[in-house]
Amino acid sequence: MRSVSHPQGPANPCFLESLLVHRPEAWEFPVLATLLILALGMGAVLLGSTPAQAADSCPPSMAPIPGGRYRIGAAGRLPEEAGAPVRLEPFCMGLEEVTNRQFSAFVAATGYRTQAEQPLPQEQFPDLSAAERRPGSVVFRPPSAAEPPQELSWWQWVPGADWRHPEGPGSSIDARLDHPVVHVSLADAEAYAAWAGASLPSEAQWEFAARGGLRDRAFSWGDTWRPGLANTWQGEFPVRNTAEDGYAGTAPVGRFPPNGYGLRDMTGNVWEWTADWYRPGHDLLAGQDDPVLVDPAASLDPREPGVAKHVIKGGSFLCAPNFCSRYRPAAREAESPDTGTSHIGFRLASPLSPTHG
Amino acid sequence: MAKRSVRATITRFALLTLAVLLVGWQLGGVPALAQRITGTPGSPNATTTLAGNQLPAPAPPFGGVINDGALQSKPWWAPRITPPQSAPNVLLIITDDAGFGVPGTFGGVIPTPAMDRVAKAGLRYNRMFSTALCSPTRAALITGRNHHSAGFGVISEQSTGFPGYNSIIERDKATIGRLLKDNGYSTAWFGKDHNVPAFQASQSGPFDQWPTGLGFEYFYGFVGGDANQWQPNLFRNTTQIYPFEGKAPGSWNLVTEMADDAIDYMTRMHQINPAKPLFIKYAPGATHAPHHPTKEWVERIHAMHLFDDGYEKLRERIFANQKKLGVIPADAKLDPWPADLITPWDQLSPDAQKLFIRQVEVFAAYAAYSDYEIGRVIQQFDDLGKLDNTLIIYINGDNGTSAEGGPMGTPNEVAFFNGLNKLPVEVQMKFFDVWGTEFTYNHMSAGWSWAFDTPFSWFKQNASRLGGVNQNMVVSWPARIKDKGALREQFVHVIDVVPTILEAAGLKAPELVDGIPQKPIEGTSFVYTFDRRNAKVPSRHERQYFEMMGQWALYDKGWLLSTKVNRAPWDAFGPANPDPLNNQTLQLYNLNEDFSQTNDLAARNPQKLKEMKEAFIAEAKTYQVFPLDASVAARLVAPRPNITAGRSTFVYTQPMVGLPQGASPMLLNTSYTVTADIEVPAGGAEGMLLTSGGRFGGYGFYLKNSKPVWLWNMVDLERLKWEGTEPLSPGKHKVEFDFVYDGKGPGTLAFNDFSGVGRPGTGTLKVDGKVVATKTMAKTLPMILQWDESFDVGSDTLTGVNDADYQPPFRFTGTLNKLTLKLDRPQLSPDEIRSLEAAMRTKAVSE
Repeated sequence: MRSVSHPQGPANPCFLESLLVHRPEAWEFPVLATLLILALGMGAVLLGSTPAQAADSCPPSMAPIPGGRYRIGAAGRLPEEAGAPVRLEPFCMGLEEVTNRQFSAFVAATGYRTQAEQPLPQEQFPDLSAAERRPGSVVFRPPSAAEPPQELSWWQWVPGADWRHPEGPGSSIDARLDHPVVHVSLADAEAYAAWAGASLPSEAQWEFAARGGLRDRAFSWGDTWRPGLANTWQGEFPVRNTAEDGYAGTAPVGRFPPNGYGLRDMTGNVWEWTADWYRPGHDLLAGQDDPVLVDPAASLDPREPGVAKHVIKGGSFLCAPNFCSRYRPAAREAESPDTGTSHIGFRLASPLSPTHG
Repeated sequence: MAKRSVRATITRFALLTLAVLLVGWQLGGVPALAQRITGTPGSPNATTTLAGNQLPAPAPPFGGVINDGALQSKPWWAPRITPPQSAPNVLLIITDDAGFGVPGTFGGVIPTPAMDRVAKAGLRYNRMFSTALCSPTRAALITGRNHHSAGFGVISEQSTGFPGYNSIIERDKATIGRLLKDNGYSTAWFGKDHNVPAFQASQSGPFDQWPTGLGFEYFYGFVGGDANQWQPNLFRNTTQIYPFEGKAPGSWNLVTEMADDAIDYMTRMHQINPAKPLFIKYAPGATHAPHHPTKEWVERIHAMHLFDDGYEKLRERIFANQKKLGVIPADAKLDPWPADLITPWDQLSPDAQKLFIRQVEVFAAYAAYSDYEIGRVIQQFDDLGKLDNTLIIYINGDNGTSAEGGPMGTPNEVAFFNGLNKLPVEVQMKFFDVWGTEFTYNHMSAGWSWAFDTPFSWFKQNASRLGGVNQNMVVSWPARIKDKGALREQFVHVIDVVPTILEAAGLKAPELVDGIPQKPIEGTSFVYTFDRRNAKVPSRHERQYFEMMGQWALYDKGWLLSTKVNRAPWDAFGPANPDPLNNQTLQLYNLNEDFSQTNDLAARNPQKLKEMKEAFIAEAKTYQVFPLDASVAARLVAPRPNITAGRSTFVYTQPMVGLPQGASPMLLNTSYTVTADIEVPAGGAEGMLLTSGGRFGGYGFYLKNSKPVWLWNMVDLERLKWEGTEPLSPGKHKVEFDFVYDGKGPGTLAFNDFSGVGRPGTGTLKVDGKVVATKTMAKTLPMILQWDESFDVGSDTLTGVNDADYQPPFRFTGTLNKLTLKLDRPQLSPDEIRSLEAAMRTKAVSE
């Protein structure tokens, strides 16, 4: 089974100087690049210089993440988190989730149309009429408190919902330009990343970065849940959101404290796409260097078998202690690549570039 | 902290399809899915189709409201599951042991009007392929996977402990019956089921691999490779039934009864719920041996005088017909007659000719009779108004015509499988008048089999020759197939049938069945060939391996790499090819230009040969074809995990019948002692104590006129009898038969050596410890008893082992207190093992 391979560097020629993050050429020679990085790192140690120098090798919108060996996943939590040892090369991780403003620039430059702005494919939905297949997306709507809610009944298909209209026709992002972009599918996120000369982080990278340098802790900041450190749901999900943290929905990026690597919103706000296909546990990654599960055939969500899904990480503003509660680095969820929702966004990653050093 | 694995998100697909059913109607504001749900969701009349990823579908969450009292609550019913609205009924017919030239529809001389009817209403396929053997083809047919993938590299009676050969259809390959049942079809199976592991065929189960365990809600048929059509080992679901008991001989025949039962079943289903689609797998025993048509059909065929000029002429006539009908290309060629293998007709004695004509007329009558009864089943679809939306797939033969009667034919196929494969004409002539009746387990001369595989060469078992694997098929579906009467020449294979049915029904293969992740379907749907515009497009099934008992082939976009036949099907009892992968002569054919595999291009294309062999090896690795095994009969007696494994003492204290061969203690190739503690009432006793097998091979231990008898029926050619001299007096007695076998046993077969089986031995009959008869058997049966007959204690089911002495059921009229059977199986000594190993090495080197 072809299941694990190394992340591929971005190959898209679209390149915007203002968002320049990284030149990909060196990645053509990963071994050479690795040697160079090791040599540079060793040089840094010999010279007694501070790790801050490594920041030179990441663009300003990203933080350098040192890499190393760690155990992805968590023991004794949810079954899908069953862990495995992996090893990562140093890499760069976006400080913040990609915002509506940044995504607007991308769309303005390329004319890109997201998946939610296109009709549903007839092959996938042969039983829907053309009218029923008009563009739309999945929106969270709190059910009324009057009747006991059925699981998942808070999700609604809203024709006309897309990244510019997060709650559907009549809603807008005008006042939310610094909020994370939502209603983006995996392909949308990848298109943006390629245009920006970066890529999506692998799950292993994402989780390592989210841990912020802490080892085996439940949360990005330690072992104790503390509301107010991230944009999550306070109150009883899904009917009552007290918005104690100041936000009932998405928050502008960077409003909550950074983790040990300086990354914001690794917990909560919106779920973030990663480059990996989803399956329970991490057995296929065990012992690998820079692993990423690239084979859709290996994907399995036991709750919905047959639909290959990608890993999303970090939880969202909808995660509450009484439901989901997946605001931990090891926590993960599965989502079909074609489904952007009002609580999924993404951030970028890229390899460390020796040319920056 | 919550550990519940709830979903934190949802896919748009789930939201727009399944989730709508679950929650949408409560909330409103989502698109309706009229084609998928009918009725008001939550109401008792609601139905739904399934996404089909998971079978059975997970129960939808309760969609009503529950408060303290029912009056304040809202009920909610899960919708009933139905297949998509246009899903057709499916009638899947597969006949047995019939090659390309059997049916009239494809140029044969035997009338097959039912097949003609389907052909006229639909399509004829001249490149439908099988695996060359029964169980393997059938396993592939119902799973959509290659035969080795489905554990059926060979028939279940030959199973060995390797994944490709263990006769176990693992649960990661749910059958088409299961898939259709869980999607809302009624599913039934009629006729032959040769996919129960021989060691799981007893009433102690398990029944997982019986039709009812494989997703067929109803089964009426026989378990095993063939059946005596007059007195079959017949089951309804998993219960053996004997509807023929008490009927006049010749008045009850399974071919007719099976059609009646199918007609009855489908009519009942229609009356109960006309909207529910039907899936019927219809697998007659015809035309596998024994050929058992009714007397009327034999007379009808005899009157046609189809075979009087012999098998070569028959072959030429069929070949000409095929060209005339256009079912084979005008430039197709015929291989020369294999005179070294099969005596040319004009060199046969008049008696042999007379015998052979009788043999083939009975075969032809059987084929015509079976097709006629199939026609009644098809007509019932019509009468119920269902034919328009019924997909009929009628496959002629699960492999080529059988040559398992050998060049001479046989009145008793059980003899054949014990190595007696060339019975002289004069022995067979004794059966001339009763040929095809309940007194024969008959098969015909292989000369006819060769002719019935026209335009190809070789037979059933020959996986590398088109005579073994190139079947034909007709398919109709009036609502969908409009190119009526046309021919399709695309390569299709039995593994393609499951994906075809799924596509026709608008269903997809599930990822999970009973929580078990499913292996991918290996076949390719041929629904695309239904359309006229695709009549001539290249086949989408581009590559296919074939392998059967060490003979193999690879098809690749018209090219066929074949191993040269190195063993006739009737030569099943010698040492096997020790290296079936490499010890072969390879041949290469371009079937695109050479329809009947006559022009070997191997010498001109060494590179292609090499590439295709490598491709075969790759396919073989993918589909668990290794280890290759060229043995045939030796595997019949290979050890298996049956319920007798590891046991040597068997005790029975009350009468019991119906234990099949594969699950009963086997008295072949071993020493044994059978002891019966009985009580004879005043006035004497008679009846069966213990028997296995029947009229065509087996043994019986019984009292006749109060005298004890042990009898070995040597495949109906000879009967050896040990008999007490005096009637037993009233009161208690111990009657014992003790047999000392003089041979090394079946252990030698593991070394490719037959010397341990079928050896002599001495039997002694004792009464109350006193010897009353002793006799030495110069040879014993080496392989198998009559396979469709059971091991019975206290009476005898189906046929008797000795018609001269009794008629079944021949219940024991005394009291059987206890019957004990002890086996003393020969064990190879370390010295013997060493010498057998050495012999095998020497043989391998010399080859």
